[in-house]
Amino acid sequence: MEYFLQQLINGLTLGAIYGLIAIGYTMVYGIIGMINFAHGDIYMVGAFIALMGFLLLGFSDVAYLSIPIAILLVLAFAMLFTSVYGWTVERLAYRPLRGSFRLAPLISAIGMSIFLQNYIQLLQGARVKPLPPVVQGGLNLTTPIDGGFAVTISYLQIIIIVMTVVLMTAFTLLIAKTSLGRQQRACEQDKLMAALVGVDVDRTISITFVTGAALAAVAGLMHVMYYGVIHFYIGFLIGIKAFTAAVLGGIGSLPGAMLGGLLIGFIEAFWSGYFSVEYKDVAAFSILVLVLIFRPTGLLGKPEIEKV
Amino acid sequence: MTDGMQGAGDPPLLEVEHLTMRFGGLVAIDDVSFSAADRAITAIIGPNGAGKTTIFNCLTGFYKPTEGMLRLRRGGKDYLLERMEGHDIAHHAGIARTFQNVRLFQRMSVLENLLVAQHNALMKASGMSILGLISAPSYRKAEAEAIDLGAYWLDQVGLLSRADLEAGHLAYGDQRRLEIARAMCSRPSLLCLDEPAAGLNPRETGELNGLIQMIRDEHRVGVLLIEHDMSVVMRISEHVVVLDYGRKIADGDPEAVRRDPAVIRAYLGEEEDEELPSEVAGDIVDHAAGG
Repeated sequence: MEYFLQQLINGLTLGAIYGLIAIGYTMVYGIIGMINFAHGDIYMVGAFIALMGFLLLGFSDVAYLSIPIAILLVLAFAMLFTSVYGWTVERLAYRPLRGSFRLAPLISAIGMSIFLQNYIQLLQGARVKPLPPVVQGGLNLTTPIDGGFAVTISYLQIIIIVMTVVLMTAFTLLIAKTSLGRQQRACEQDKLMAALVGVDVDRTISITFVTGAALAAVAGLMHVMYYGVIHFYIGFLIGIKAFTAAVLGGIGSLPGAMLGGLLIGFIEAFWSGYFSVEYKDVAAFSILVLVLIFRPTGLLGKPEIEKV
Repeated sequence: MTDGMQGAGDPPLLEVEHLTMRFGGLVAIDDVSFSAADRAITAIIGPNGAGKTTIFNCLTGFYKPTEGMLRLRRGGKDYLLERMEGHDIAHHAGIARTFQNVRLFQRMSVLENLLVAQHNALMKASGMSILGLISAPSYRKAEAEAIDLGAYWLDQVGLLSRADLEAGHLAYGDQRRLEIARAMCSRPSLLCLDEPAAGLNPRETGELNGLIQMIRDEHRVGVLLIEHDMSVVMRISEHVVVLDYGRKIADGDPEAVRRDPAVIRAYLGEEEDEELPSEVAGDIVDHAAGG
């Protein structure tokens, strides 16, 4: 039972990270019908920027800052600069190809992904970059019975989960209630018509990439703090898994991406907890295959009905 | 050529000069010039394929005209539409349009469809939605105003009780009226209606006539109307432009156009050419007889 609870907490943490990245995939797919394969690498860039943020804070001798404020500062720093990357990628690699054939932006997305990986490898080196733990300690949720162990939730896990819940709530409200969100949904449904009522479609697409990148930066920050190491290639596997999460939940659906991220997190945690760690990726991707076979629209996705 | 129905000395709201639109070798519009007055209904009629909708597509920035000039006057400023992007035309020049086949945001609520059309004002008030997220007072006020305007137009088109329904679930006639309401919510200077009466029954058509007249009279909007239903065109428009094969063949008040031999020929065909669709011909003949 303790073991189960512990894996549940670990899965929740993983799921939070996947969910935040999956939102970026699903939003971009919703608005331009394209899988942004560079999104995983935007997340990797976000992790590097977050790491730089921590190092800058460390060097600039602001030890008097309390840890939560430091994290918030780095968060803002990472979100800001990663957004610039997201915006630039859209502007350079996707916007010029809009209106081109469907495969063109897909190819340029893959190109962008390879470019970002090599760019970071060149600038930062291929070696693993460590970050000493920023937040330590945790809460014991149960008292260990003899021979057993205590279920713990680390403070870092709490921070990750709370941050994710806050961001997802804010983002859901943004989409559902604000004018910007309406504009985004309008572009999703009919770009031509949206332009005809005065919506600047190109700008709305840019904003979508920027918000997606900002959320990926948050996930990147969590990765740096949670795993303590990053390298230029982390974006690939985690990006694909977050993409799996988006498909599992129903690509194009915002709650679907969150649910999918959570499920992938649980699957990985429980698989590595009860079966074998080596095959946790196999488990996650088997789910992708099964979903594509039995429910191509995902758990919360609506099938597109074309009226004739 | 009679020059439309402009009020005493007012410059026209819209001037189309020597508009030509070619698609490869096909000339869809060939050197068409006309003008539309403010606070008046200008109808564009003509057989199928005459280029009516193409004119709308040029006006709204969907096509870039091959040649010619489209000038719209709004608030003492001239806008050259052929040089503007689609969303700028809607936002700054204030041209709103509806479609032959209704294009609503199907999966948004009826009211939301009207709010999207007002988003430029809302975005300004909400500081790119940041203030909206924390629901600052200035944003709440702007949104309340937007909802008021939406409710006003829903009332005008008789859909107030269905404001929260998904737009795709409305009946066809209701969707058509909602599209007009949405266009009006963007506070346009020129409203372009593409066959608004298509698929409506006679009672609905009568209501539509009233609605369009109300828009012209009370909201001081110029209306550009493409319509096949002559009972709409002849009854409510001040000015009729007739196109045939991309060329303008007549331009004037409904009475003059109806008697114009070129128009009758375009609709009924030359004597040796008797295979024209009888229902179109019927319309014109009915009106000529029953007028």
